[in-house]
Amino acid sequence: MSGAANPIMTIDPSQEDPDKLAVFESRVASGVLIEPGDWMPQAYRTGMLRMAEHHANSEIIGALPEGEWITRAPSLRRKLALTAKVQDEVGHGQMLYRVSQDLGKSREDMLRDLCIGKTKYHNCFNYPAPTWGDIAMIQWLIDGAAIMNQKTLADGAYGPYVRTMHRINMEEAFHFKSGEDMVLTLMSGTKKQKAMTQEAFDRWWGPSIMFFGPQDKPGCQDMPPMRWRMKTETNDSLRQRFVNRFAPAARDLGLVNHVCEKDEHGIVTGKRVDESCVPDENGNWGFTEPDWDEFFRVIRGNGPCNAHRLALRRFSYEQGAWVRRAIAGGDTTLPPAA
Amino acid sequence: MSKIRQRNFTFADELPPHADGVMHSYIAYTARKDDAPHRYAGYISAPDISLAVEYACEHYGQDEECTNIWVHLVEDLLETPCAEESIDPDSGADGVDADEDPAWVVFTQNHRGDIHIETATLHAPDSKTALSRAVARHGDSRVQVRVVARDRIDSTEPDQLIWRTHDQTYRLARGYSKSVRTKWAAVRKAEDIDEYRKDDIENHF
Amino acid sequence: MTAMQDMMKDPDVNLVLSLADDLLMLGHVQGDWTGLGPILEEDIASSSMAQDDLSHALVLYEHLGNRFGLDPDVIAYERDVADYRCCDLVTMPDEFDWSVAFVRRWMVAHWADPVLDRLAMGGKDLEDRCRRLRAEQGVHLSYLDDWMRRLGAGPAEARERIQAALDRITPLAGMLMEIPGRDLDVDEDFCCGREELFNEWVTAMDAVLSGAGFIMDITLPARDVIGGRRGEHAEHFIQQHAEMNEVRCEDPGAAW
Repeated sequence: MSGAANPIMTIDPSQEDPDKLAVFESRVASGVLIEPGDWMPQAYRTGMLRMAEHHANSEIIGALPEGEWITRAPSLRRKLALTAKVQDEVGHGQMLYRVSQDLGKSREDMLRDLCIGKTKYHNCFNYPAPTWGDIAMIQWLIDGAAIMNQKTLADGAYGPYVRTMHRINMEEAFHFKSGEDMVLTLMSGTKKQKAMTQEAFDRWWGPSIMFFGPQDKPGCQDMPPMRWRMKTETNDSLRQRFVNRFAPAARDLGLVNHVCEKDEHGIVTGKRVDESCVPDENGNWGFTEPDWDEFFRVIRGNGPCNAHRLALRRFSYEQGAWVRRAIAGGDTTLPPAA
Repeated sequence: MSKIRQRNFTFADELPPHADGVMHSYIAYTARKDDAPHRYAGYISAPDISLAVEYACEHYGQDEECTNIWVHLVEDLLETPCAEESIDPDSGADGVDADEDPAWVVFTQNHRGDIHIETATLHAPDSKTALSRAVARHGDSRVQVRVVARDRIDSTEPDQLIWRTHDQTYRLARGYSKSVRTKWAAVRKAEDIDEYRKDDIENHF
Repeated sequence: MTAMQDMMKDPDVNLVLSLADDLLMLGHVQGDWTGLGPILEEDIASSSMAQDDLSHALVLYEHLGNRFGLDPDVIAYERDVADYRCCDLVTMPDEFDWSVAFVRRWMVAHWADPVLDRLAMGGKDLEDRCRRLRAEQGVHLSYLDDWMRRLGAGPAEARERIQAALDRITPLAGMLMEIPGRDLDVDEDFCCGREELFNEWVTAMDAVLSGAGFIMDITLPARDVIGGRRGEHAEHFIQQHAEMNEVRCEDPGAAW
């Protein structure tokens, strides 16, 4: 699953050669894809590096909450599917780190920066997954959001990232179908299963809405991330599309859309029906804006699970150091990336 | 939850130093069937080509049916700059291949953003000549041509088991499509399902 | 008698279950490493093999399920603890030590090969299944043997850790050779000879270890040793079994 473009990344094109920049922007605007040998603004290189790195970090950390349930999956098929999904996420991280590596940062440096919290990853993985229902919801809602986002990223301008997104999306389809299958099974199951699934929906609807990043700033379509087709659709547009897809689907499943209050552990402490969650005359479903203060609190490291996720990742990194030392070859310098 | 995932960790202030040693970058290609062209799959980081092949089998070789995998060092490719829309084949020079010259595999990229696909094998005395001939023969309507010496490509064995023989549908979208369709049909109107499915990914493993 | 009781009474079933349960529990503990491995590519490769082990267990449970009219998931999850025929080596906690996890799966992969060869003599259906499983376990063997050689050729730190893991696991490795089943007569045995199986297994492992510069000395335990395969499981297996069943037990009989 993905991250959106780092929601607080800023790009400053003012330092670029203006003539070359104009040619670059004209090519991008006309739909040309940028390949590694092309001239690119330094800010574009940096921006794509950070975007792919953030996305890779999100995959690597995203493997952790779902990985908690591999040992407890309630059937062999679900156990196999969950293991494969978490494995896919590691694979996606591996592919995305490569994109950033080609732009000038080593995988080792990226993993180290992730471990110490210097670089970020997608906010939604800082929330807990306390039940099996959460696994179903993550695969339905979060992977559903990721697919919507990633389809637009596959329309982007940077060739290596686009190629990677195509391959990732081909696996993402399985993640989403598996998630749908689980949610559909649970919501046609026992009373207990339905209650568990409703509670998981309450926990994950907010993070799903926030998945697409903060509300659009005025003029964002003219800013470099969209002008340079690093992003091809705005946060709000994707968000509305997500709600239009999932709100009626949830309703038909028998789920109720709630406005929830949560404590610092991500546990719902109070809820009321979201009366705004109905379609308007244009077919756009309403939704209550999530708590954007919470979004920024969590990004800054104060979410329910930030510390634990990073700690587990760092532990895994440190424990594995001897294996990396054991297997690495001689001490010549790294070959240049293609 | 397994015990390791629940543990409270404590760390030193600093991360341990970088691992010593060097990893090389390899490119992997997979073939879906015998005699099908090898298609770019992705990169592998490994200390040597033998482990790179093993890794490629378990990573890219598990995405879809796969009968053969090629792997080569990134530095072993020589390629043209990426053209805007099409290479001019006259920018290359064709020649007569001598069998005693080394073999080179030609990969081509049709459009910017596409993957590279095995196109042909030719013989040439060196990489520059190989690339020049490849451009002349295969550059038309392509944006990039790449050559790699055949003996620099490691391959899996002809009958090597890569894609598993036991049921893999648990990890494929098609393993769930029918079940999901049936279950949605029990709770939603057909037109609502159709609308909902517009955001599905159509192209998948 | 229930179908499950029928199944557990059949002596041949113990042999099939001994390997199936080993692979189930090895896949279970190894699957948990997914996302936590030391190298991204290695993490991916090991997870493939964990999925294989789980799938292989499923293939064997399906064989038994067809014979006795049982759902393979019921066989996998819902037996009494004492009816699991895995040895307790496979669920011994590795305490997140990659060298212990590695040596254990290497040993079990070597074990699976001759056992599958013997199980294939159990009729046409089992023969087909075991042939396919053996080919795939062969992929694991090839990968793990290669790693053993690499680690043996690696720096002193790696060699010491792997030797330490071998030293720790070797005294327990004989658990794989426990004769499976409860209420057994003293004369019952693996088909085709227990000592022969043991020698085949150890000889194959020794060939790899000596080439890599490691030492191992496994003793064949006495026939009457009672451990996991006889239903007398260690606490760590009981905990893993409970963890495996945590969600199912919340709502018994539900579809997931």
